[in-house]
This record gives sequence, C-alpha cells and structure tokens, in this order.
Amino acid sequence: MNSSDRPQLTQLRPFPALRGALSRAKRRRRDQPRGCPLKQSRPLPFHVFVVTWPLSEPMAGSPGDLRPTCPPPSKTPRTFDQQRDSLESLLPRYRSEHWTAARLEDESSVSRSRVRTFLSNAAKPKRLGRPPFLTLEEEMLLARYVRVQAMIGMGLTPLAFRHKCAEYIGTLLAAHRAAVAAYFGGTTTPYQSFVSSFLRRWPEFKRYRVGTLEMGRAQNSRPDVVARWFAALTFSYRDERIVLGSQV
Amino acid sequence: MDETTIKATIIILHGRKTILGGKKLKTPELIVPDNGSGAAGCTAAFTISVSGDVAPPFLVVEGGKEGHAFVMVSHADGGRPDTIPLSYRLQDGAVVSRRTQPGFDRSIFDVFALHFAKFAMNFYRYESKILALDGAEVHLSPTGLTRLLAAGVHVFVEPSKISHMLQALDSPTSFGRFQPGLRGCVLVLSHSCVIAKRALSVLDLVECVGMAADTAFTRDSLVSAFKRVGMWPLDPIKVSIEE
Repeated sequence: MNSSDRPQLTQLRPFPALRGALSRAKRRRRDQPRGCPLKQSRPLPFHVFVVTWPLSEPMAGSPGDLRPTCPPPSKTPRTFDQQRDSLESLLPRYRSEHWTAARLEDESSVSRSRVRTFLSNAAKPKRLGRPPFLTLEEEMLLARYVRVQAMIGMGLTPLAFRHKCAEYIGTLLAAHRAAVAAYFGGTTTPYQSFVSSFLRRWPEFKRYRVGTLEMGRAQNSRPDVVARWFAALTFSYRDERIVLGSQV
Repeated sequence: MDETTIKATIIILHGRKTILGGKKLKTPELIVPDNGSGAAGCTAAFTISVSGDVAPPFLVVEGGKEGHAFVMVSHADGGRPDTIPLSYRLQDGAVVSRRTQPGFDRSIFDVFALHFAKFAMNFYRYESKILALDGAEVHLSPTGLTRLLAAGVHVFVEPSKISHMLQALDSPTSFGRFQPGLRGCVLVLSHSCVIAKRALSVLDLVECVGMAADTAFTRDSLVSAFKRVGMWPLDPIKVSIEE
C-alpha cells in the first residue's frame, strides 16, 4: 500500500462525538498564555545562595522543610481609597445621566471589574445589626425638625429628643405602636442609645454643651434648694442625735 | 468627703520651673522630667471632720491591676529590688488603689466605703455619723452605701452642682490651701528629678499628696471651712447665694 492509497490526515473523519472534544482541546491550547515558561529543574550553581526575606532560621522538621519558602503574597486591596473616592464622586452623575459602566470606567480610570463590583455594592450598603426603626423619610422629617428647633434657639436635649420621638410614635396606629414596643423593649419611648445611633446616621448634627460649670452652678444654687438641704440636714442632726463635731 | 484630681504633667508644664535660655538658644526650652508609670496624675479623696480630724486619704493612681498599689524599688547598690506599697508614704491607714483611668467609679467607691467604714468604726463607735458627699453618680453604689450604713455612717448627698457652697472641702481654707501646696511640692520634686536625671515616679506623686495634705488640713482651717458652709454650727444664713 503506497502513500497515495493511504488516507490523508485531513481526510480522516473522526467520530461525531469526538468532534467537539477536539475543537475544545485546540481552543484550550490557544488560550494558554504564551509567556508561560516550561517547568525547569536545572540545579543552581554552588555560589548562588537563595535566601528568602526576611531571613529566618529553619525550624525543626524533616530536611524537606529546610527549603527556602516564599512568603505568601500580600493581598492587595481590591479597590483603593482613592479609586473609591473617585467612583463615589462620579456616582451621582452616573445615576442622573444614565451612564453605562464603560463610561464610568473611562471617567474614573478604574478597571471594569472594579467598577462593576463597586456598582453592585454601592446600591446596597452593608450594615450590621437590626435596621433603624424609623424609615429614611421619617428620619429626614425628624432631622428637619431638630434643625428648625436649633435654629430658633430651642435645641433639644437627648431626653427631650426622645420624648419628641415618643410623641410622634403616640400618633401612630395601634399595630404600629405594638411594633414600637417590641422594638424598644416594651416602651414607646426610644432608649438612650437611640440618640447616639441617630447622630451617627446624621453626622451633620453635633452635641454641644449648653453653658459652663459656672452657669450650671448659678442655675442650681437657688435659695429654695439650699433651704431644703439645710432643712434636711437639721432633721438629720436631730434624728441621728448628732451633738458632737466629730460626728460630722 | 470630696475628691480632687491631681495632674502632675499639667502642673509641671504650667509651673515652668526648669527653663533653659542659653545664648545659642533662640527659644527657651522647658525641661520636663519623664513621667514614671502612673505618675501622670491621680485622684485623692479626703474626708474631714468638724473636730479637725482628717481620715486617712484614699488615692486612685493609674494602673491596670486592681487592688492595692505596690511599686518595685531598686537599690543603688544593685541589690534585689523591694516591693513597697504606695500608701506607706502617707499616714497610717491610707489606701492607694489602681485604676486605668485614675478616677472614681462605683467599684472604687465601694473600696473607699470599706476603707472609711473601718475608720469610722474606730471613731465614736456607737454614735451615728454623717458623711456629706456630692451627688455624683459614681457615689451612688448600693454596696458602698450599705457598708457605710452598717458602720453607722449616714450619707448625706448634696444637690448637684452646688457642692462649692455646701461642701466644706471645697472652701478656700481646705482645698484652696491644699492645691497650691501640692503644686509647689510637685514642682520642687520635678526640678530635683531633672537635676538627678531621673523620672518622676508615682511614689513621688503620692509623697507630694501626703505632704500637701499635712500642711493644708490643719485643725483651725477645717473648723473655719465647716463654719463657712454653715454645717457646724448649723447656720443656713452663712451660705451666700450670690457667691
């Protein structure tokens, strides 16, 4: 049988089931990176010392453990703060002008994958713990009320703030009030940490101390307070039979 | 009873005892000794009586370990260092306690109550006593108040923010004398620390408190302090609201 009688390789028709496998194998070979070097096991010359950084003493173990080990690669942050800042600054325009992710990528010069990750996380901010009781609209209304009160010189103390919230909750439906009681531990007045949580959500509001120690002293040192204290002290002296100076 | 805060660093910085102003120095330099562990500040609680008696002081110094405060003292000859209690530089029966923030809280007040109850039991044992405190929240510890009551000490709480009128220790003849004396002691000791090139230790601070208290709380000054606030002899007219 001469060579002309033999079927050529191109004329061979593989089985139909193998057709897809062959094409997949070819594609896989093409997809391999070109610069990938082949595995080499060439021994290093004697004058070369391989030392990892930081130089560490070998620990006890089998001789195989004495081989220099590379430190684990440090994990780079997925999105740097600068990139996140630029993305956050462009986010309102992205939303209002209906940009595509590609446009945002061009504007912020951040890679596409990071832009897509940022967009998927930006719409749904992660928060720990249970959600706040008031909705965002209700909190906005509350914030506006606090701002107006401060503007007219009637700034709220934490206690007054909680009482105002309780007044608002008192106007709600009975079912809603029951939900409030379940949320705030059986009472319709928010607990103390509600104020600090609210201030954390609204960083534009700051607490400030009204007056000084001297002002507080001046307010508290009323004649009736002093008179009541001395009346109680007189009663106590008489009741406990305090007759000697050493007993005070 | 009243407590006062002692901040050694601030006293030294404001005192400006050791200032160098040499020819080549463009700006004078203030030399401050290093602060040893817990020497930055402390809180001292004093209890005085109308008869001029002063209860052993109760100090709270900086430190993580709870309980009595001890320090290691090394010898110049290189011998084995000794452990000594900080209270040995104060009068007998004094207590020095440690807390990370050198101030009072309820647990520290409980320790104070135990300390004062022991003192009060030896002092007119079968008579009732009255202890005036300011209405700070840290003083309202049920454990401490119960201990005091068991020792026959009835606690009388002053209304908030007017202890400057009703508290005898807040008067110029008691803390008004104690604080300048303490500042002087701290400045002198800090100056000697700079010369000796050593750090200001917590032992030095406790010694300063003891010296200042001995100088300030004399019998006459305490009697005049109680007279001033009208607590003894009982005279409400003595308190001037306009002050």
